[in-house]
Amino acid sequence: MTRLLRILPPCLPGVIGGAWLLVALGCASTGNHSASGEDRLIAQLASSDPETVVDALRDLPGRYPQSTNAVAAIRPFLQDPRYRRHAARALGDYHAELPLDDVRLILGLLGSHDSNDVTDGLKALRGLREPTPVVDLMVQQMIPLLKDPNNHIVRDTCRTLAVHGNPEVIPYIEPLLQRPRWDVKKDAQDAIDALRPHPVER
Amino acid sequence: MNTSQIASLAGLLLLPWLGSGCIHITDEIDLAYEPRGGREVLSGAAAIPVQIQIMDQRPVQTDVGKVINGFGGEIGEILSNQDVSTYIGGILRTELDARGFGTGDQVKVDGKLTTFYNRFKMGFWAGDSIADFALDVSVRQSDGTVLYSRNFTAQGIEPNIQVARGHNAKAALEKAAWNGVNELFQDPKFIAALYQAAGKEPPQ
Repeated sequence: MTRLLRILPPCLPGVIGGAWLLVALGCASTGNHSASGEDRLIAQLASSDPETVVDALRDLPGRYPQSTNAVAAIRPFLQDPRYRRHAARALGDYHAELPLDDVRLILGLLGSHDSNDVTDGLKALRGLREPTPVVDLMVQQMIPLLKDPNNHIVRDTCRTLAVHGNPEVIPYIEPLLQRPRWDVKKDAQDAIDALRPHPVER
Repeated sequence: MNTSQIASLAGLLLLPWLGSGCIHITDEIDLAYEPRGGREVLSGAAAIPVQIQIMDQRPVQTDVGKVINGFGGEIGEILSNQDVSTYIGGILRTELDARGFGTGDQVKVDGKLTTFYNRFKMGFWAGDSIADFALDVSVRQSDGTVLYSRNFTAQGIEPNIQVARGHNAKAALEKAAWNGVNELFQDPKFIAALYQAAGKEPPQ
């Protein structure tokens, strides 16, 4: 025991110093990870594995909502039908302002026979920030979806029209208030309330 | 040998065949196209008369898929009640009409359908119905000059199916056809070629 005590003190500074070094290295490495996480996700977009690309498209807006590089990196994926709906959702989450040709690609999703494409397209459009002529084009192509047999599509259309619509679309939404489903009626009523011009208080 | 003996003998001979599971099923499907959502009506498109001609160049033209049993064996054919090239041409016509294009022979859109076939991918709990589509499209002026040519491939998937029958193949085939045609109309060069073939400036 006495021998141990005699040995221990000279080792102690070394042990403590080593521990500090390890902690410092760990911190530095964690810091590096957080700094390059966005770059790593953007680099994942170049992967040959479609699942990795889709994961990156999903993760980028959630983890790096303030990213200044992501929109430019995501936009080319609108050209690829495999990734279009995921790219559209990501760009909508970033509230991107896209060129008209890119908006047309997203509008193309609204005609899909796959309901998931349509709902993702509507959610993407909801997030975009576009000038009035483009918004008018979007609204014009959304209105027929209010008569879609799929209730989820009708509800998402109401929500997107509530964001981008104008009082002129209210007559197209009003018939939905007669639908038997309460959730459709609620989304229709919410959209009408959002679009109805509010009287200016004096 | 009397009649009852002949019947018994025939029954005896048929017994192994009945037990072998050799059953043949033919599913007939009605392919349909219901456009969803709106389309952008293009300015000046009404003055561009377009004619569509689709040629069926599929290697197998008799069926659009096979019915599969629980063991993955083919037990019959899936037949389309419509002529497949007419069906694809009808989708193109509907999409052109929705964008405001006219009908006529000033601009010719030729298509060669090389693939339109469904296959079933069987899983442990459920399977997928996967349809492949391939179409070569060209746009010609009335004098025959080709202004646009491109091959489009697409896939349509009806996921999580329980039976490998015609109705699931129909859903996948309809998705594949739309996906392919949608890619064509998403190509700005195709629209530009239609205008160019009519001697007009494409819209911005």
